[in-house]
Amino acid sequence: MTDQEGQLPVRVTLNGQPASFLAAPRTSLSDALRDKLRLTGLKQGCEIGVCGSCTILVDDKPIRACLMLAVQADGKRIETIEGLATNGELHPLQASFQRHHGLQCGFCTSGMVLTALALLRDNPAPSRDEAREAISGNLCRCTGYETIIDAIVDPDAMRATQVGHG
Amino acid sequence: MKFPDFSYARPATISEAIKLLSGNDDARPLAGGQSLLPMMALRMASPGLLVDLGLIEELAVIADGDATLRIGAMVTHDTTARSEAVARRTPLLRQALHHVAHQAVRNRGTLGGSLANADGSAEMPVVAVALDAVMTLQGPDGVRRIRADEFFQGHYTTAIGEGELLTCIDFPDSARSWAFEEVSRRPGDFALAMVAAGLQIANGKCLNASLVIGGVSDRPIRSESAAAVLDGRTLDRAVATEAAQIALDGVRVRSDIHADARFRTELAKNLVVRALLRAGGAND
Repeated sequence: MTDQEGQLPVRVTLNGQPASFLAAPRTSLSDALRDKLRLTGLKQGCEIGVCGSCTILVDDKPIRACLMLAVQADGKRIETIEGLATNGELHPLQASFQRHHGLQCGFCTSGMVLTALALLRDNPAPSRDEAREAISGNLCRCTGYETIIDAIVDPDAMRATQVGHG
Repeated sequence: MKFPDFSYARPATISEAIKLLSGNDDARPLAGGQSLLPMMALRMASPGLLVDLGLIEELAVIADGDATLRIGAMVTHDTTARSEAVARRTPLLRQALHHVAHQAVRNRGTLGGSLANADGSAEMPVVAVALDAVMTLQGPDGVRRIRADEFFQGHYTTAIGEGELLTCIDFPDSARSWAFEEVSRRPGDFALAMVAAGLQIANGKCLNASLVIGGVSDRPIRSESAAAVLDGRTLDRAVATEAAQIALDGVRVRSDIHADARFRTELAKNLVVRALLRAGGAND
């Protein structure tokens, strides 16, 4: 099956908007989002599901975009880091990461923020231990994690995630 | 690395999937993809045809039946972990799921996929053997059912035959009280050693004990002699330690970069003690 002939249509709801593209079965969802839809906020580290930097939300749940075929996303609701800011203003959780220095190089950040967002939607007031466990599948080589935990359990981030900002 | 090229099929029914899988050595079913896809990225597997089971709805159902709790092969770890029926009828499964990878992997990974993958360091095979689960295999020649302790035949090796598909797993109700203990390098990593221990206490005495050890060999190991030594005894640390000694006796414990055989053996013994005491209601 060649890339041209074997491509399948994929229709998704991407950050609230309908989107569609063609993908060969072998194309990972992470490659499709970056290369076909130019959503490069998603970073690819290991591409074998270990590092967590490609984490996005599919039907509200964090998943490894490198361990899902793009064609498997057909009909799903996808949220990426690009969908968080509104009118150029950072989402409160993003602002909290910035305020607490929860990032340095930024490579893990989109995966961290989306993982944290899913946690806060599921558990509006996580303890530090719960936050730590939630991000345990996401590697960060800069921060030492403590500032990321600070950003997640920040009262403003927790409150804002519950009201409106989703 | 990118996945090697493959043909792709997305059947809507079990029979269609079996038709695609049978007579094709190069075909592999794709469940949650959390083990097979990394193996493909690493070129440890390159199937010619992937039969994606994701659209087969009947594989993704938990049936809270009279005789057993039946979990479809495509039910995700996350769904299993959140299931009220699972919490009520197979709390051991719920306990062990906490140790399976990370949330993002549990959101895609499936019970059937984990069992069919049969990694010697994975939690689900240990739970399946401990709870006397029965696997349903559907193939070109019909349906057969096989007990978990006969299903696992070695690292990445199961009783699934040519063209067969693991469709669901039945967990009979257990009268035992269970505890699961594991040690891994980091949370979510594969286990260096793990233990599922179940028992009943009547008039202060231990009855009907069951002990399954994982991570030390190429498949879950049930130790009947260790369970037998507990029978009728008052469970305390000394008795549990005696059982642990027997449980590891004669087991060819594997060595790898994460832990050598001696360390693994000691870990496993300690976990046996911990799990037995916790199953017996003692605060270790």
